[in-house]
Amino acid sequence: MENQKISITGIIILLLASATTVVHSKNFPDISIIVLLFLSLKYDTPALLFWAFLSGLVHDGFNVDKIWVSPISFPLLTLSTSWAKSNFNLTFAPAKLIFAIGFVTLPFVIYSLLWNVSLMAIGSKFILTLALAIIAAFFV
Amino acid sequence: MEKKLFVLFFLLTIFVNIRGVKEEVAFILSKSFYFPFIYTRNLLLLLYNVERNSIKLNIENQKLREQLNDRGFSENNFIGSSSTACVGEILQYIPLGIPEEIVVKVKSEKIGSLIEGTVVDLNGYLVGKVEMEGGELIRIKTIYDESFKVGVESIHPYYTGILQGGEIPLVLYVPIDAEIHTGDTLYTSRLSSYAKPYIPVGTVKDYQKDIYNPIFYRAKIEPFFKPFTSRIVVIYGKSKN
Repeated sequence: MENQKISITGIIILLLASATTVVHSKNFPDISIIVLLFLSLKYDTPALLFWAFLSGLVHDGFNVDKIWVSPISFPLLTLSTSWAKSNFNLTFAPAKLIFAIGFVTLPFVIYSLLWNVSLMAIGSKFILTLALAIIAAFFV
Repeated sequence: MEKKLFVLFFLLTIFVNIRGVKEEVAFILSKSFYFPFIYTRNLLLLLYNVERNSIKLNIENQKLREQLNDRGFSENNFIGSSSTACVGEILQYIPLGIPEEIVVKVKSEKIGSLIEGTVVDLNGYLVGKVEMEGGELIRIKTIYDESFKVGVESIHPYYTGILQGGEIPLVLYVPIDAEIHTGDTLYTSRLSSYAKPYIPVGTVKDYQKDIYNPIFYRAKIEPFFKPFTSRIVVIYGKSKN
């Protein structure tokens, strides 16, 4: 019961974090990716895939002119976490660090390719997200 | 199982990327998710800036008072001579998302003189126009209402136009030879009898040649007034001159 409450709170935070992408400035970290990393490292349930999809929809939903890539990239990241957990020892700090870097870098590369944004333009956003994601990963 | 789910989400992603579906989803998300966030951000920004702005405003007012006194004018010649001003408390935004109408409670005996008056927020930005009153309550048609219209002008460079309300307000009938630029500040026009002049309305966000009327530009406006940032508005009665 306690676990359920925590996971529901996590999912609500994930959705709200996705919605912040509409109001934050260019240099603000992408909190939804950080929360997604934290949740997918903490929980291993297929239901999280659905919430990741929904969160991806909320993440991109304000930009009608762009390709909505997060609805697929978020579940993909969740799946990749589950795959990494079963194939690598993510309690080992360097493995966790490398995984967190990959987890954050992948969506940013996809956005820069599909949304025609240079990585330099979102550089500070990427660095902040990466830093916070690494901290979040080590809190799990 | 996970592969099947991935394929399902992939197909769903393709589905939501269809233009029509995308627009519908964006509309639902805007009303339910994003606007409350944007309003909260506006409120926080306003709270952050309010003290600094009020100090700046006080200094500016003091300078203006000194200049008026130097020229031998009394403050009373300018304030409240030809129109009434009242403060109203916002009771309701209709609808809640982007409000086309605001219900305001005014405690004043001069309420009758406020009909068709101009409404500004605490920063002095145009909110809308008083449409009807009943008892202590008055209804304000905001600049987000599609039937809202007011004459506007840019001072530097000078040009005029007609602001038409909407979720994204437009300025129509800007002459094609006007030196319009993105970022120009628009004020209510001196030529308009509809509202008090020189009230800041918004900035030009984008403009293009009006396809229905090629001798004019049509510009999109970013209004200064942001709903849900204050519970108080100032209402100026319609000027007598």
